[in-house]
This record gives sequence, structure tokens and C-alpha cells, in this order.
Amino acid sequence: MDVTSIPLFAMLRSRMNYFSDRQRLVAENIANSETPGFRPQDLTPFSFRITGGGSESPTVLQVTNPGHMRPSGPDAAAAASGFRTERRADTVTTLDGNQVSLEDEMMRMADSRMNYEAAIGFYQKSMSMIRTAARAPGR
Amino acid sequence: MADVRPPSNGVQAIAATALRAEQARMRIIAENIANANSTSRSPGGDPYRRQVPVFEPLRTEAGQGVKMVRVMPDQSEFKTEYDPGHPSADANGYVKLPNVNTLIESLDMRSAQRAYEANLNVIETARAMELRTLDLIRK
Repeated sequence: MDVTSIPLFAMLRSRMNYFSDRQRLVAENIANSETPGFRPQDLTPFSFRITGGGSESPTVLQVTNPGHMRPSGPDAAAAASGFRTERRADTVTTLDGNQVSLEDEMMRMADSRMNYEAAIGFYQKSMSMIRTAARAPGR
Repeated sequence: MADVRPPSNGVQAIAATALRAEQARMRIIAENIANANSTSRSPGGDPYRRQVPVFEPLRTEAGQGVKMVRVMPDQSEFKTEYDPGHPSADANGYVKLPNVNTLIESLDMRSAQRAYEANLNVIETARAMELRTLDLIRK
């Protein structure tokens, strides 16, 4: 039996995928916090969508404009539906056109980590529940 | 400067490119401060010219890192000082001084330090997340 065919596990798995992808974007933003003209990026908020097989990632990303950047990397195919370039009223834009706010990125990073660990916790609990059910009676 | 080969973890690879770039920037800043008083070797010649690092996003396998692509000379004017006895003084007794402002350099140094710390933080968080995932195997 495949664990990911259980909807709960499929959802947790996609949520963990989402947050590790997001962590990568935060790393890109922080790495380019001094690059002239760089715009920080973020993923569209996560939404649970029950997928049939559980194999496909429910992180739905939208490219609404041809100018939007596409992700690169080995998992580009998985995440390639696009990142949205964020435009917020309170972004700090320096004279050289850089819009990264280190404080915001730090918060986003901590948030991703917390949510990731929460998902891992849920995963562990559910696993131990299954183990309890699978244990032979009287042992 | 050696190229950064992306390790298995993309987040850490991206942060590592930034650590390298900030290191290189610190080196340039150190050069500028060290040469803040370096005048010309020949009478009437140009003194040390301030160097400016140029950062650009760098596409790696893991994602978008950063790289110091080149170092450009600062084109601003040299200060002059009347000092006829100075070995670098021109025919009228004026000495050209470097266009380095140590106050600006130390502010740049702070900014490089802050960016470096932010990237270290990213590596730390990515590592913690990964270890947490590995904990799943143990239970």
C-alpha cells in the first residue's frame, strides 16, 4: 500500500513540498538583497485541494503576465506553473531599484519553518496511529 | 573566485552564492578603506580610485543565486588639497586625494555584514528543516 494514497498523507506531503519550495524562494530573495533592480518573489498562498491520486502537487501557481519570471532548477517542472512577483504597498525600494526587505524575508522564513515542522508533526502522529491499528492484538 | 557547485540542497546552495558575493564585497571595501589616503606615485598624477562591486542574479541549478560579476571604478571627482611640499603635488602645488569616503565605506561594510548574517540564518533554518525531516526515519 502506498501511504500517499491516503488523502491526509497526500495533503501533508504537498504542504511540506510547498514550504520547502517557499524556503528556496526566500533564500533567493535574501541572496539578492543587494542586487540592483531585484524584485522579491513569493508563492501564492497554499490551499488544500484534495487530489485524487495524491501524486500531483496542489501548489497552484499562476503566471498572469508574460513578464513574470519562471522558476529554474531540477524541480522546475513541478513548480513551473509560475511564481507571482509580489507587489506590495509597503515594500522598501532602494535607490538602485532593489525591493527586498530582509526583515520580511526573515519572517517568511520563520513562518515556513514553523508550518513545515507542524506538517511533519502531523505526519508523525498519523503514522503512529496507523501503526497502532496495524499492530497485532495483545502485543 | 571558484564557482559554487550546487549541493543536493538548493536553499543552501543559493545562500552559499550570497555568502561568497558578500565576502568579495568585503574585500573590495577593505581595499577602499586601506587606500583612502593613497596618492599618486608621480607628481600631478591620479591617486587611488574607489572600486565599486557590481552584483547580478546568477542562475544556478538550484535557483537564482547572486554573483559579483565585476568591479567598476567610481567615476566621481577627486578631492584636491594645497600642499606644495607633497611628493605627488602638481606644478601649482595641489595634491589629488582618492575619492574614498571612509564613512560611506563603513556603512557599506555594515550592510555587507547584515546581508551575510541573513544568509547564514537561511542556511541554519534550511538545515534545521532538513534534520527535522530526517527525524521521521528514526521513529
